[in-house]
Amino acid sequence: MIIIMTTPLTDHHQRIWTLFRVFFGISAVALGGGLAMLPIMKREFVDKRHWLSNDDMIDTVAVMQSLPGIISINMAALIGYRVAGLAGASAAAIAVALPPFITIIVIAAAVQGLLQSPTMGRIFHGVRSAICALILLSAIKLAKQILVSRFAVILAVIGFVVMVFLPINAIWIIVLSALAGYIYQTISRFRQQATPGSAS
Amino acid sequence: MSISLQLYLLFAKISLFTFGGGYAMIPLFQNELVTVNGFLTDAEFANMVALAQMTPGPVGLNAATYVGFNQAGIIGAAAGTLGLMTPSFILAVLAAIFVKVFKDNPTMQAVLSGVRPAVLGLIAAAVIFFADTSVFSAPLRNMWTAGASFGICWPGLLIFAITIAMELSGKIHMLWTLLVAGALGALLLA
Repeated sequence: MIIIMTTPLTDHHQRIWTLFRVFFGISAVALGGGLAMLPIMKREFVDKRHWLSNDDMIDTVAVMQSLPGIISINMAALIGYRVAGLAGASAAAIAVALPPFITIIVIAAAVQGLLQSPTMGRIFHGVRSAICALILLSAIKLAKQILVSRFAVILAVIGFVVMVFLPINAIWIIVLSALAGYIYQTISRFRQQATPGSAS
Repeated sequence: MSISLQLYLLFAKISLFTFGGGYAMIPLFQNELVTVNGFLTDAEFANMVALAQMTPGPVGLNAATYVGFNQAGIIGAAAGTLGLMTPSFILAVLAAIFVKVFKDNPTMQAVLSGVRPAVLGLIAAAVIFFADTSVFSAPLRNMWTAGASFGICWPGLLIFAITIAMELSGKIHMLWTLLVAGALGALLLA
């Protein structure tokens, strides 16, 4: 009985350990994380170890994009679950969270006073200007993919204006835009059914 | 309610309403951490995001660790991080189990057709938020406030322009761009 159980168990343990190692490594090295992790996942779990198929990866990406939360945690849990069940999902998620956790605590403990110095203030002012530019560039890139209909443009403009000029919590913008999307798509579907044959 | 539990619930809430990750989280974090709870000032928050960009790992996890640590030490950092992870983890495992329900689900797709453009609006708002503490010498909303002043911080604008040029060249790693920006800041800003 014990022998029968140990064979799959060792493989299971090995999978969990590999998940931990790979996700820890990616999280420790990658700046930003998220979708940048994908090529490494594919190499490690599809090409090298054949624990996942290409279709698994495609499914993972499709599902991931409709989930809220931290993209890298979503990805770790999805892939970890596919490879080694709940234990795999936990191992991968913890592995993703550990490197930033350790780094930030060390930095926060060590340089807290340093941030108050005038020179540090100027350096950070420079970095903030750069990040402002980086966010603008990523917004432009996203706009090309997302702003494909008048409905999308209107929602994006409303989201921007409300966020910048009104004291309204961003959570409400998300909730109301979700509702708007649902209502808009339901009405469009209704219209298409009402006028069959019309080009949409 | 203990501060750790408060941090846990706060970050779980933020996580649940974040779509698209990364920069899209900035307005949500700013709302909750600066406006609602007063854990940080606008400038401290912007510095924290800057720090998160320069260190490994996802920006959201870095932010939760940093704020949690400042509020309640290591326990606070762990509470914040776990809070941020919990909704992500539960939903992702459910999605892995019921992949057919989540994949190409028409209701989810309809909801996302509204959320995606709104999130783009939020990211654009994050640009203004950062400009307020870097490229502008005072917040943009001051323009419409009687008696308040608004202006451009020229060295900040120069660093902004140099960053765009470096990024569009497509050859420079982001870390170098940020280091150059920091060095220019130390030299040019008063």
